Amino acid sequence: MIRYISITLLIAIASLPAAAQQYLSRNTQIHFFSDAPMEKIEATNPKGVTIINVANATIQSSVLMKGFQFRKALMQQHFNETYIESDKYPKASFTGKVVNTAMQLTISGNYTWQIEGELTMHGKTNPIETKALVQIDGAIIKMSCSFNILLSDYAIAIPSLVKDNVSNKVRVDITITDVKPM
Amino acid sequence: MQKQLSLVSLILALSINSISQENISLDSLLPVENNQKITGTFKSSRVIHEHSVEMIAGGDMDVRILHRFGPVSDGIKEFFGLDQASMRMGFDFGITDNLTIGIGRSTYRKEYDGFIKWRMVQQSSGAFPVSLVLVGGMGAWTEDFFGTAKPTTADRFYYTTQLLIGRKFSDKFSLQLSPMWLHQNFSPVTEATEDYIATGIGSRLKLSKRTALTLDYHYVFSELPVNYYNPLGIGLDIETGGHVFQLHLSNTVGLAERAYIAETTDEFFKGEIRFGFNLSRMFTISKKKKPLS
Repeated sequence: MIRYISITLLIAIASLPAAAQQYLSRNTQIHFFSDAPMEKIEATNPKGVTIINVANATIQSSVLMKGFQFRKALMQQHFNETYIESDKYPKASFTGKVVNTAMQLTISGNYTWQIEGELTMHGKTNPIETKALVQIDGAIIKMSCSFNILLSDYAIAIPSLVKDNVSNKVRVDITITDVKPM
Repeated sequence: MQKQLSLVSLILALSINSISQENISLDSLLPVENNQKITGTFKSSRVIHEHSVEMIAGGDMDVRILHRFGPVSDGIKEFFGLDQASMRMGFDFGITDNLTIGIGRSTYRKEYDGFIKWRMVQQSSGAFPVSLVLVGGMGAWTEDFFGTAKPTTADRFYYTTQLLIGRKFSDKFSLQLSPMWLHQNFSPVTEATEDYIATGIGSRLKLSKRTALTLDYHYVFSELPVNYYNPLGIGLDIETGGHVFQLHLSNTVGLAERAYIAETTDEFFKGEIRFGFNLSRMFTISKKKKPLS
């Protein structure tokens, strides 16, 4: 009988994960910047969320479009109402995979992850490739990456009247902090 | 006893397993934003003549140039009214997001006007169905008066109080009702009353992302003198970034409250219609840079 107990206990211990498999960050800051001759457009949203799954090396992020803060109130209104249409498409999401290295978040050091994935926004999905810088210092984990997107890829139309005010190319900077095991 | 123990450890083993495999949906972790404020009820802070429930954002300035031309029915000789123009130049300032002040000067009776506009409640999803905005205004006309009565300086002043009740029903359709009271110390129109009670009805129907049809009508409850009519305007709003162009057909000459409530002498449905446009340009004047997050 003792043997049976020890076997079941062994199963129980074996099924305990050696380390956390999933990590969560509620402090995913998304910043974007576009430079046109007439107007520089810039906004930040600090309230994105990210889940990192070490088991299958995937990263998923999601953000609400209405949370983007602009310096000019009118710009924010136009962003939500005429460009990104945030009532119709309330969020943007990213799903990606680390392709260059085995994913781990436990050994301190600086790493570069090559990430390939897809960004869905304004009802359209496009591939994204980027290099993310990962800093691990014990339990403190920070990641950052930048990439460019084209508004035309996401069916965000720029009327010819304001083509000097809005650039088709937008740089997106992402900073992920406060990464905790789930 | 031992049997029970093994059962417990088996359950333990299974439950640990199920925890580690649980998948949490990412979207369920996004911050829930309740009571979201409804913005963009109208494209501009005026429907056509009257105030809309839209405010000027804190730190912004709206420069407004308004024109009303002569009657279209004057024909080619007067270039369909464009030879004569009545104009108002105005500056509106957003003190905070809920408090706007403005000043203006109209060519009609050489009138100066100013107002304070306070948004008491903003429509928000799940919390409040309408926006409530209070507008208090005053003005004075400075044109020479050739009637028999000689108005004193105090006589030239007038005061308006208006409550705007507006709702954005859908992405496309907005409606506002705006009861108002106008008091003039002296009426430059003979046999006219000094106090007017009226209500405005303003509406917007979006045609595309950047264009909208507008309607602006005032029903005057007080008795208007003979040959004076309720002001009515039908317009098209075109928005291009920081500019809003409002093109319209109306029966009004005056551009501030007193002038269009008490002194509209054309009858819209008899074809006494004037072309006009409002031009609005928004500037961000606050030096204080708002933090981005």
